[in-house]
Parts: sequence; C-alpha cells; structure tokens
Amino acid sequence: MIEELRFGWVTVPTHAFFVGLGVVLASVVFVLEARRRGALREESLVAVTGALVGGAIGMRLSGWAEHLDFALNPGLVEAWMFGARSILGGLTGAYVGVLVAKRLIGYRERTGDLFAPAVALGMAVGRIGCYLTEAPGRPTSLPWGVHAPATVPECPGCVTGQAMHPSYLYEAVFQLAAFGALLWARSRVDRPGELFTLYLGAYAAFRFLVEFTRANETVWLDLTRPQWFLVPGLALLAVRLGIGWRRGYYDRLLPRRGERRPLSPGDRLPSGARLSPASEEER
Amino acid sequence: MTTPPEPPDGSRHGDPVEPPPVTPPPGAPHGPGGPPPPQGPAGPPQSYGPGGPPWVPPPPAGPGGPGPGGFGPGGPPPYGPGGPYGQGGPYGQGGPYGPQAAKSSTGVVIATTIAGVVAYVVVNFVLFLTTLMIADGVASGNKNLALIGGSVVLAAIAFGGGTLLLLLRKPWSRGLGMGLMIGWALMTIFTAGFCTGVNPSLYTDGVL
Repeated sequence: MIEELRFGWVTVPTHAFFVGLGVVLASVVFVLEARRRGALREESLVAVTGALVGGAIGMRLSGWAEHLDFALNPGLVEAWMFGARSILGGLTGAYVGVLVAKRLIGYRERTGDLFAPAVALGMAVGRIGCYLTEAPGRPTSLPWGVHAPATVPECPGCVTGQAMHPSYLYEAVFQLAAFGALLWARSRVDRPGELFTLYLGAYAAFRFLVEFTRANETVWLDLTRPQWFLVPGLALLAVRLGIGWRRGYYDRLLPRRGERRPLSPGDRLPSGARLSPASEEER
Repeated sequence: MTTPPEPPDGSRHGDPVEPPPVTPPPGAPHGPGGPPPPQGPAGPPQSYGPGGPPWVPPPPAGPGGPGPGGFGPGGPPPYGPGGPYGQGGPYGQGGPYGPQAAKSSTGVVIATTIAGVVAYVVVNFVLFLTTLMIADGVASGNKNLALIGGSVVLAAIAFGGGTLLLLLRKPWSRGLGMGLMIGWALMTIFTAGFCTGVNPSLYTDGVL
C-alpha cells in the first residue's frame, strides 16, 4: 500500500494522483478523438459536462441504493458523504448525464464513440491508484498473488497474511487492451454509437467475471452487489448487441459465417488479383 | 436530368458528407429557366422551371444507416435540418454549396470553460477553508451541519451560477457556466475517489 507519493518536496495522495492523471489522459484522448471525427465543437463540450456531472453524482449516490430493503440504506446525506464510490454508479450516472445534457440543448447525434477510448484509458490509469491504496482482492494461491499490510480496513486476506488477487491490475490490463482494441476497431465500426456499445458490453462482461476476484462483499448466491447490478445490464446489452449484429453494424469487425468482409481502404490485394467493377467502385 | 447527386459511399459509413458541387444544366429545376427553390429549412424544393423535370430526392441511406457522425434511429435526416443542401437551400447564399459557415465561437467557449474550471477550484478551496474554520468553532454535534452547508453553497455556485451564465447565451458565459459545473464534478471525483468504498477511511480521513 502506498498512501502517498512524493515528488521532491510535494506529497500527493496516491489515489487522487492516479485519478487525476486518468482524467487528464482521458481528456486528451477525448479531444484527439473529437478532432479526428470532426466533432470538436460546443455540443461535445456539453456532453462532457453532462458526463462529468452525472458521473460524479452517480458515483456518490450509488451507496444510497445499496440494499433492496431501503430501511438498511443510508440517508441521502450519509450516502453522499460516506457511501460507496462505485465506478458502475459513475458510469451509469455519466450515461444519464450525457442524455440529459443533449436533451437540454436539443442535440441528437450520438457521442458515445468519442467517450469510449477516453474512458478506457482513464480507467486503466485510475485503477492503478485503486491497486495501490485498497484491498487488492480475494485470497488466492496463484503465483502472482500479492500481499498487503494488515492495516488495510475490511480486508480479511490482509489480516491473515494470505496472497490476494491483484484484481485492480486485472482491470487495468483489460482497460488498456480495450483501449487498443477500440483504436483498432474505430475505423471498422461505422454506425454511430456502436463502438461505445461494444465497449460497454465488453466491460460489463469483464467486470462481472473479475468481481469473483474482488474483495467486495457477497450478498446473495455468492454474487456481489456489482454483479447483481450487472445481471440486468448484461441482459440488455446482449439483446442490444444481438440486434446490432443482426443488422450488420459489426460486419466489418466480425464477418458473419459465409460472408465476405467488405474491403477497407487499407486492404491489399494479392498480386495478380483483379477486382470486379463493383468491388473497384467499392474501393 | 437534374437529379441531385447521390450521396457518396462515405455518407453511409462516415461522417455526413457534403454533396459535391453540381452545376445544374439549363432548364433544370433550379437552372436558369426555373426559379430558385424555397430557401427555408425544409428539404426538397417544390418548384422547378419550365422544361425541367421534377426534383428527385436523394435516395435514403442504405440499410446500414448513416455512418459516424450520422444519426441514429429517430434522429434527424442524414442531411441535417436544412435538408440535403443546408439552410440556405441548394443555390442560396454564395451559390451552390457556397460558404455558409457562421463565425465559430467554439474557441471562446473552450477557453472560458477552462477559466471556469480554474475559477471553481479557487472558490472551492476558499470555501473549504472557510467551512473548516466554521466547523472548528461550533459544537461537535453541529460539525456535520457546517460541512453540509459548505457543500450546498458550493453546489449552488456551480449549478445555480452555472445555469444563470448559460441562460445569458453568450459564448463566454456558456463556457464559464459549463466550466463551473465541470469544476464541481472534477472536485467531487478527485476528492472522493472512484473505487468501491472498501476502504472508507481513504475518503473520510482529514475531513472529519
């Protein structure tokens, strides 16, 4: 555990440092992506405002609905000040925030694709801060298990001295891989908003699985609260992705069986091969 | 024929594509023999000159729908609210597809947004110190009230002040208003962290 980082004479809280670094990097990626797509305009800034405000509120208030029995939940003020700061609550709040902000200004274009790579990189960096300051995960006998001091609160593995899953590092690696995959796929997924949908689907599935290595409390059927939150979310995303796949939104990414992938501008033809006139036109 | 050009392939898979310049032939709907089409925001023109065939709307986007920068289900038509040729109509304001770009205020908005974020951080810091001083001076049972009061004032500055600035509808005020709100959100995220709450002391140490 590294609670603080020292840069010369300046001491910075580790967690805040990596969250800040993640936000800065995400902002840079967002601006670059917006420029690439010709969307660097005021409407995008409005969407960013909605995402940040909604994300901040959703993150803080996620603890407000922690229990199905509402009598067990903290009050609004208590949840605001001490509640769980869930990334899932933050993402949900950000999504709603963007929808509300766009509705307020009457903007109807999809903006999710601008956010997808930025969110992935920002979360990859932010999770390093989580890894360095929080209970890393459930006990494991795997060779890459990590140890943490017993002073880490609510961490049974820390108290017993057992090695634990570095679950935040798993997520950081996933987010980095997702960032690379999104950069690769962004020229292959043409339908507005679909890149973001793919990212959400991948993250939801990954997060459901990685929760089995996290130190979160299990509440029912050995599943944690984030997993129960994700169950309906995953079902919705699966339906949505299935519809997209049937309509051919991802054909250039995942060619369906028996179908040829349409040519991309960067594709090379084998020497001597000739295109049909239709294909020439397509190129 | 004077059928407007079909959108290039990019309109299916890419950003909305401005149709290429077209010179209408004589006698065409919008050519010398015909009056200019309506200049309003509606789509296809309704009239055409003598001898000119009717205007044929461009074909809709393919089954895959418009590309990035296009529109989702229920969204506006692929060519935007001004119809296929923009607000000025096919040949309005500077000729076919002539320059219509309004003066962009994006730079001003972005600059003032950044200024708004910085302003909020400064205000937040001052109010943070003030709130702590007030909390130190009250009975232990009321410390929470002082903190809640500080939070409410900060939120009022960000959202009340931000909304008022947005309602002024000037580029600088819109940017400043958004900056205040973004500043509030960033401070909220930075000071709370975004993990899981497994380690609550991370968030509460030093506050109470």
